[in-house]
Amino acid sequence: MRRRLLIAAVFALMLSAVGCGDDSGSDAGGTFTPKQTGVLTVVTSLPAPGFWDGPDVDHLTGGFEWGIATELAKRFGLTVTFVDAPFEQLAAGDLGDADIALAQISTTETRREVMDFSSPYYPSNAGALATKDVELKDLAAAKELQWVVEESTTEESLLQDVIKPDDPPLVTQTRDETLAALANGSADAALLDLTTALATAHEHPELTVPAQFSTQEQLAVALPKDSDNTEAVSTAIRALVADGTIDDLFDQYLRPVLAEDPAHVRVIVTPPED
Amino acid sequence: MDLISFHTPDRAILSFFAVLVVIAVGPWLAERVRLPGLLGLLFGGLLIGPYVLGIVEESDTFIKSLGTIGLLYLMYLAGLDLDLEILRRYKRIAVTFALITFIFPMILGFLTGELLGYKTAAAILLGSIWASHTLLTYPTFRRYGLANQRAVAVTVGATVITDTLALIVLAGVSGYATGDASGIDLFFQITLGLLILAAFCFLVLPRLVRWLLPSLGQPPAVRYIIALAALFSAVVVCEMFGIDGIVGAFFAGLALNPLIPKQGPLFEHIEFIGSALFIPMFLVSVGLIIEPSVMVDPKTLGTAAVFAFSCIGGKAIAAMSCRPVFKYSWTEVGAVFSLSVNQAAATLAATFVGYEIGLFGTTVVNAVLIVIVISVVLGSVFSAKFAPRLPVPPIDTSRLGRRVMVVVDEDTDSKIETELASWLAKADGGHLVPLMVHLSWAGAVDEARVESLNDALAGRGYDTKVIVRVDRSMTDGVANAAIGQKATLAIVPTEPPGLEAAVFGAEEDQLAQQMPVPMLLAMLRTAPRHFVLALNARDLRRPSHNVQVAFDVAARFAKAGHSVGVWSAGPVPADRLSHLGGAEVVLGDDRAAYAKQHLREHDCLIVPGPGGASLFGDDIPALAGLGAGLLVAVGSAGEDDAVQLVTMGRNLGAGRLHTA
Repeated sequence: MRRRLLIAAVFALMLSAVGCGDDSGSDAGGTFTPKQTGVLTVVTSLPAPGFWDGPDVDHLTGGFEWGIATELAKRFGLTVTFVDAPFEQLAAGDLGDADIALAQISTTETRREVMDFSSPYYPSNAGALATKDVELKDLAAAKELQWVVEESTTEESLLQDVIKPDDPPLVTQTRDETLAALANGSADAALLDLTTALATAHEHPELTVPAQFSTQEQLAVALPKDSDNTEAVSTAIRALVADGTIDDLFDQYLRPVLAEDPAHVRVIVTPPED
Repeated sequence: MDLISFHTPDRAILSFFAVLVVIAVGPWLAERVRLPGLLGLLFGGLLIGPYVLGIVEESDTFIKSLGTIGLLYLMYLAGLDLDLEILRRYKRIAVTFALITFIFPMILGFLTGELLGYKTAAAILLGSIWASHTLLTYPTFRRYGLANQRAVAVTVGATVITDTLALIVLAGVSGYATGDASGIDLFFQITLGLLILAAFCFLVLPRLVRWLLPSLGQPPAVRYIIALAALFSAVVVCEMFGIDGIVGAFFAGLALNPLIPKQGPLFEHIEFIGSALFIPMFLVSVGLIIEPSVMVDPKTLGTAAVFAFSCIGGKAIAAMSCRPVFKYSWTEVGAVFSLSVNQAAATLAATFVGYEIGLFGTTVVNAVLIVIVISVVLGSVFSAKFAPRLPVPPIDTSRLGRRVMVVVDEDTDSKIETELASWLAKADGGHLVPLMVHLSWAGAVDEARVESLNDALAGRGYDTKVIVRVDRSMTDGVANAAIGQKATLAIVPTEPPGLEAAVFGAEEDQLAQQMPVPMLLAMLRTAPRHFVLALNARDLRRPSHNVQVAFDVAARFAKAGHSVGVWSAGPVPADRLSHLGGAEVVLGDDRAAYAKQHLREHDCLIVPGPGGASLFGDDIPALAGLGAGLLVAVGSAGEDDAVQLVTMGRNLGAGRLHTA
């Protein structure tokens, strides 16, 4: 009898040690503890049509990543608030006071050194955005083009290390500068995240996406380095993928603003990096 | 100037190479420290994964896809590899034990999850994960000759049911977590899905495969592709109803289990490709999600301790329940525990699915991996302790059809005898081994003839290949091949002996003196449709091993669904008749006269060999000269010819008796 009581006591002790370690409770998928009690703070980089709809964070009306942020807040039982920040600041791992960043950030080894990533929610190939007269059928043709690319993006590395155009690409700070370079003819094509390129082509009918480059990269939620919330966010993202929420959000927000289905864009296979 | 410039290899190629290195080296290293090879793969995955060397990313789509195929393959192979014959033999007791060993860990796992504050779906899945088990220590018991020991066989048989139940729970939980339906709608949706899946797997798929294999599947590669397509067809059906694919994979394996003999070439191909590539890919991809920092985190270790308590505690309670319920000895209880405590394939599969659908986080996955290690170590320790103490059961004569060797003629393809052998093998879930004996002085083996025999066998739907034995005589060839092939029964086509045999002795008599396994001398002209076991007065008075073999053979024809009757010179024990599917017994004085009067072309007599110096003594020549077929049953050489059938002499007079 005494032995049974002892076993029961040990089991109860183990349960309390595991289950009651913090006041936010426990879950098989991990626990999320926001910086600001009751609020999920999400940082992004605007503009990002299709991903974030609205002129600024105070007037957002929807969007693919907006939907993901809202679903995450719902799962964690929190309200959600949004912050805007430059992409290069986020890519450098500086999320400010935000809990998570949702800004079409693709998972790269360099970025992993300065931030944590959740499980991915969307594949991220690179897309070429160009005027309709530009022909881009293979890598040889890509090398002959004058490219423009935004600073600190994975597309910049792709251009410099893999595509290696004959002429050095123009590097811009903002999306507007990139589009201006295409409009004034100083660049033949811009390299952007494929979805962003397709959304931009939808907004600018004079532009098209003649090809995409396979990168094997994926978009994921970024968190501060060594965040205790990574497990919970990853689990929630996998649940959103598994139950079809991500597909629904894509259909609702991204598909209508894309010039065409990403699966229909010609794929140019890239050689390994030097 | 750089003389050599290094390039970064293609990411996908590098990842694949790293995984192949882990597959080659990981299990070898693990086995050096006496751990199962699968742990070597898991920790190899950890090593090359994003948290240690970073060669392979968790999100690597190529490795991830191969891992998903590996997961499906793992469950398919699990279904194919289970011994359904053992389940059939110990049906009632195995079902009872399966429920016991499922329920206790399920309840403890569920309660643990609830107490830890997990969502109900996660807690239920956790319970079902501990309820399943993998027979990792079964080879130890087999090595000790304990495969047919009551407690061991029942636990093996119960595995089919525990794993099926665990997967049904998984289907419900994943349907709930990933679908829109809930409550009664979800219940009906999952139930309907499972019913359709079961109908597809157990009714449509075997018929389809049975039709496709002989018509398309003569080249081995095509046979393999048919088996693989069968797996994925079940997965497609599953996914159409929102049920996780691993349920379909397991069901497909169970459904095709009787069609793909475990010792046949097709099973060997499926197992080889699975264990060489796809399944290790899955295990390595699980290793990729292990985070060393999470694994040594006190929270993970605490979670693992609680999990271990519920899993091992549940399995221990279930094993101990066998003592009052089945009157097992403590040694048998220990053996049952050591067989059922191991958590490996099914646990990993369900945990991985739980992770993928967002029910489990990395803490749970890492804790489960720790429990797997603990359970495997415990299972090994207990099996090493209890296996040597279990009493070894008598040699199993009940699996006569396990490996049926049939001698095929070089000139004819022995079609009738092969078909007969396949019926006997089918009755025991066994394998057909066609043997061609080529005399060493007769020149080279005609390879083209062997190939055409193989094609003919494949064309008739047999998953086997002809074994060619070169020997100095037919007798030596058959006897030596029986040893080499581990045959459990040999079928030797023969003719009634002529004058030469009468003078010099029949070759079959020499064979009977050498033959290490029971055999049937087959004198058949047409494929039998009805069998008559014919026992004369001596067979009843002094039941030899030959009589036992004749009964066993008749019982297998009955089990395979063939019509079997009995002619007897006296009353036959009722318990013997019960294995013959309620065979009608005809009593008489002269079996040759009976056979001549009543048996026709498609009937076949089964008679025990007469014993003594010649198998062709007594009335055998007369029986062989009739229009019906004749099978002479002969026990293995060295068996006591006067072995008394245990049950003979008891219950005499029972059965449905008719007098001719």
